[in-house]
Amino acid sequence: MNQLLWLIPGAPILGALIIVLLGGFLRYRHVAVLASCAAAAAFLTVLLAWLNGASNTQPLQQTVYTWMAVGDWRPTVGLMLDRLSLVMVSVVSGVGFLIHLYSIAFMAKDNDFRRYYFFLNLFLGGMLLLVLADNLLLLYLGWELVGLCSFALIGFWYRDPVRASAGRKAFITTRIGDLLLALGIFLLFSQFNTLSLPVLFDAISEQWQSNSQLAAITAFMIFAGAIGKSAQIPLQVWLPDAMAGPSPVSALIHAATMVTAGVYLIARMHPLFELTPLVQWTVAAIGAVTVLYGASSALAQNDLKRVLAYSTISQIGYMFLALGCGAYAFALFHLVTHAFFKSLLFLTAGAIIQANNDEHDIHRLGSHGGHSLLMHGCFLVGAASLAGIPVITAGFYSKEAILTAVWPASTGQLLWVIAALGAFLTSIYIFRTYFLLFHNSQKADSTSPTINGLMAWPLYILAILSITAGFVEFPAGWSGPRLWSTWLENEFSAAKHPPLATVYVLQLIASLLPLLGVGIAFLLARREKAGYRIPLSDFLRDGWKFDATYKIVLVGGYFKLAHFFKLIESLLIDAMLHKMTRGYKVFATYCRTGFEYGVLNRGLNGLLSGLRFGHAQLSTAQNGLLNRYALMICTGAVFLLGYWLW
Amino acid sequence: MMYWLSVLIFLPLSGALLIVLAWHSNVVMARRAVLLFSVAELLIALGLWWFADPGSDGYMYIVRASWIPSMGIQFLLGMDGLSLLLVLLTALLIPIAILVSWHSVKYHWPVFAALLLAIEAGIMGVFLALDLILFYVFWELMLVPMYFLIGLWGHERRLYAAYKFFLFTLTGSLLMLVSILGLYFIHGEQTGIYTFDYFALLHTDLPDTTGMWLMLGFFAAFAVKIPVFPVHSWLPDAHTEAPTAGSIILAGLLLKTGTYGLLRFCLPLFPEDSLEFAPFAMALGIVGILYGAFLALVQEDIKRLIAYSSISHLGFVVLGIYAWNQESLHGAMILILAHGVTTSAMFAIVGMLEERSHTRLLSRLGGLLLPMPRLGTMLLLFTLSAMGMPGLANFVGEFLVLAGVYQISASFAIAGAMGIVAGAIYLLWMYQRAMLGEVNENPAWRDLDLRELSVLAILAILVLWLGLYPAPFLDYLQSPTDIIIELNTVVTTGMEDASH
Amino acid sequence: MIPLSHSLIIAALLFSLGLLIILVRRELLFILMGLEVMFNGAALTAIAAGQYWKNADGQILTIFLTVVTAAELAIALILVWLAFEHLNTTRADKLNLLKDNIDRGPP
Repeated sequence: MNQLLWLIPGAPILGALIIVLLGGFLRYRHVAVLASCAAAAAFLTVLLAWLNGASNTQPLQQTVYTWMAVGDWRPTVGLMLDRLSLVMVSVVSGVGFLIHLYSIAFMAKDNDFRRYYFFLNLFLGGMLLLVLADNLLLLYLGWELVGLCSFALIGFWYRDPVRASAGRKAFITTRIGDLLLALGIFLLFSQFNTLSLPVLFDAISEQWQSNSQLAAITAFMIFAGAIGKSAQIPLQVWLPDAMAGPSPVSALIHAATMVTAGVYLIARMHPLFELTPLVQWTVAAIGAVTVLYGASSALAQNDLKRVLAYSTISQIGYMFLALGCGAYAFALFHLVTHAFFKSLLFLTAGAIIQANNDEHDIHRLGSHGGHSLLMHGCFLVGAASLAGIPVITAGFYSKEAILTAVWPASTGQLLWVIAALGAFLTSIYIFRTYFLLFHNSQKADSTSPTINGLMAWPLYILAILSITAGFVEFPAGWSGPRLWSTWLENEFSAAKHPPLATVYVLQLIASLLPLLGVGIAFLLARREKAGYRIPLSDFLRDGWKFDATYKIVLVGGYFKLAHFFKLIESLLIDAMLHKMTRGYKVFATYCRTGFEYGVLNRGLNGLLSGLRFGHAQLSTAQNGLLNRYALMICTGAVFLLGYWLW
Repeated sequence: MMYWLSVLIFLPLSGALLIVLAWHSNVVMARRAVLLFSVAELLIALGLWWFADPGSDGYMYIVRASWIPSMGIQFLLGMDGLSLLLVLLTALLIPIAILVSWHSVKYHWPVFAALLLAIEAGIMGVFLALDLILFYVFWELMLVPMYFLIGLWGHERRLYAAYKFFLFTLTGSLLMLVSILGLYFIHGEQTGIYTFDYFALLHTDLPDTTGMWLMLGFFAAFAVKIPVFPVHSWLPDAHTEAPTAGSIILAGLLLKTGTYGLLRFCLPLFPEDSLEFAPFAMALGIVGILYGAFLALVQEDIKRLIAYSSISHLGFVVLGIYAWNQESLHGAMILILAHGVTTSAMFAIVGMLEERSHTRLLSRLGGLLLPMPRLGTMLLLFTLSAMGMPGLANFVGEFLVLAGVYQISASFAIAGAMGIVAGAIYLLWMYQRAMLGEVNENPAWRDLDLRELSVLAILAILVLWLGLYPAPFLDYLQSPTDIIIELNTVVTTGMEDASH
Repeated sequence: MIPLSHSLIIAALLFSLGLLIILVRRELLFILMGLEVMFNGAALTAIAAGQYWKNADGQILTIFLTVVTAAELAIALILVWLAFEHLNTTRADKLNLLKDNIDRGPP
């Protein structure tokens, strides 16, 4: 099995390579099937890894080749599959495969399918590489590769400048986070002279004290990278715009997998974070604020996909909250369930939007009426799971686990209140959307567009998982299996929970809030159809005006600075050169009139006429007469003789 | 085996002569001949690579013949790992420049071809010469044909650009000549042996301030060529006005001679003074990185934009060279190669765009991915490489440079890393304006033909190779780096000894 | 035995006679003859000196001189002939093409 690890990221990357090299010769069907087969190969390898005991405590490892070699530092392309990465790999390849299947039907009418499948496969490969990497450098490669694919797929319909700009915005915003992540990596490298994760963890636990400043700085930088990728405040602005991409892409990249890379990164680096309670608390605080931000902004959105985008921001906030409170296993748990129900919601939304001629507005979609039963059912299941309807949905179990674990953390009560409020808002916004979309006067009829078979299967599977995935881990104090936390206990220490009496009270409140939210959402949807707008709706719709502020302060400032430098270049440097040239010319003119003409030329002319005079005198001797020459020779000889003799 | 080094220099020279004499009015034959010569040169370079022993210490090949013995001038060529890679880069980029100009050069093809070969000879000589006078001769030899290349086949303001280019570089190289002579006489006085032999001069014991002045003389010449921040203003003009082949050679090779000079001469000849100067040089590098990135953002002309991005990237190289440790030096050398390949490819693509649309202005392009998917994809690849996407060429260099710089000074590394983000900003902006959006004008775009595609494919493969598996290249750079690192440790231990 | 002084006086006379011819005559052929006479004077000195010193060097020198003179004369006669053919004259005062002419300037 060790030798087959490379196939997990390798298969999709090979698929991408084949598409880019031979794509010109292939038809849509072939490309789509090829890409799906590549994804399937990755998924099957993961299954094989499960069967072959990847779930052992000993991680599987494979070194593919040495990437660079600088002195005695030789970072490799090395893969490592432990339980943490096994969870990620399973989710990524599984959901990835389903979304490839879904895309076959979804993208059938697009002419640019080669580019789509190329980037989709490349994304899958990059993401799998990211989670399998055994050193930070390779992880960074995967990290940037998925960022690139995200950029390319957001701007997939590039002829619309808005969409193209959205891709660029996503890339640059995440790159700011990546910059800090890279600096964190540099810091680790300069301290320990290695980037290999196992070696690094040993070194960190040996050399760095708890609360040490270096550890805090490093952890903060890595956290900043995670913020960028996972769209947390203050770098969350790119994710709502990222909805410009095709819906399957939104489902795969901007809901299920790539945006959770930050969660994975922090979970992976948890030995570092555990050294610095301050940064850990910051993670939790950012998570909590983001939960509130996402949920409240989603409340006022009219674009179906933007609702889901803000919802994603908010749900990832929960994961960060769990990470910050040390409940790594539960963060991962929520990551998995979220991957299922959110991709279900996105795929359903994609189908609805496509069936209604690219209509994104939920009010208009609602008034269109005709949605097939399958769309209705899938959306309901996804919404219920997202809202965390008690007991029957997966979302309930994972959210409950996180909320319970938050309470005992420092300032845990406050964080719990925010998180519970977030859960309440979540249920309101998603059911508001649901009621606006599906509860209208018209009934679904036989002519309403339906979802064809290949597109439906992923929806079925995801819907089932959105309900059942939660049953592996029952909340604290309940009798029932706790497979998840026991299975991961070698990777992460168990999360704390408050005394059972408190737990039951908290659980009761947290279970009632979503149900209450559904009721409020029903009323809200009815009043909104009558034209009611919630207070602060403009502020919330614009995502707390983050975009506008950034645009003025950062983008405007940056361009101003660039123009300023351009001005400097033209004014100072070029002008100085011009001045120098001018001065040089003036000097040269002066030299010409004064020195050259006045002194040098006159002197030279005098010398010349003198020479000409002398020449004229002497040239009479050279008369060409042979006898005269002979006479001169004789005279000369006589004189010489005379000189010698005397 | 050894004499092949001289062949590397004299083959293109004789080729240039042959073309001018034999086919000065026969374009078809001149094209064939110039391609033949440059490919033969590439094969020789590859052969040298094949037979080179990567593990051997220092130099793989040395050619030594006396030239003007009375003044201690030799014909001394040598090839170590660094020269080898740069020679390979040169031998590769010249045929590519030729193929790119196949149809775009409209008149005087034979003269153009001869000039290209003459430049190749000059650059090869610069990368191989180990006698200072010989080095100077080649340094000037590559200047003159380049002047004519820009001045004769350039765009509207070509004469201005060519003149500026010539004046800047000439001033720098004269300062270097003064320094060479100074070094020669000081060494002669101390040892009684008057020679320009690089190996002999390596261990000259220089008085403090004199050494600094001599070092600055060398640095001036190299800084102009690189170009380092305050003396960069010739580059955008030269790039903008030069024909495509000129831009490729300028960005891909000529700028590299400057950084090569730093690595080969400036640091080894004056280790103490260079170490003293290093913080200033690193600061200049940082300023160059950020300044270039800022200016690139607000350019309308794509070639100018790429020229400023070159300033930014070469800032990384300078930064890495003067950070002076294992990682940063490796990184700087790899970045030299990576930038050579990436930027040449980008200039080639811009040249192809210009051939089709007769404009380089971003505002008049747009939406070109639709009519020209191949060109758009290729440009995306090279743009990504230029902005340091991991897995592509530039990343390896930039990462290693920054990892090395971080160990010297965190603030320099942070400033440098901001340059990478700035790079992403202007390059993506460029890509979006040129390739995405709606098509602005429609002069019957046609996608790349086989010749253009194969040129770019070669460079693309190189970019991927350098990015995904740079280990073989890094192996060649190990011994040159070790030598330079050793200087640093010698100097620092020497200083410590003195202070004790 | 002829005393050395006699031979030297004869030789000096011959030399002076030849020189005179050269200085006075304008015809190239006569000038060549004058040259021959001067050569003979020189040769006679050599022979006389050889005899005086009881040494064969003088005679060897004379033989050499004769040979060289013959060769030189042959070349000179050819030159004279060529001068006549191209310039239609053999008079030395007409053959003044090498005369410096300041007005004509450098060629």
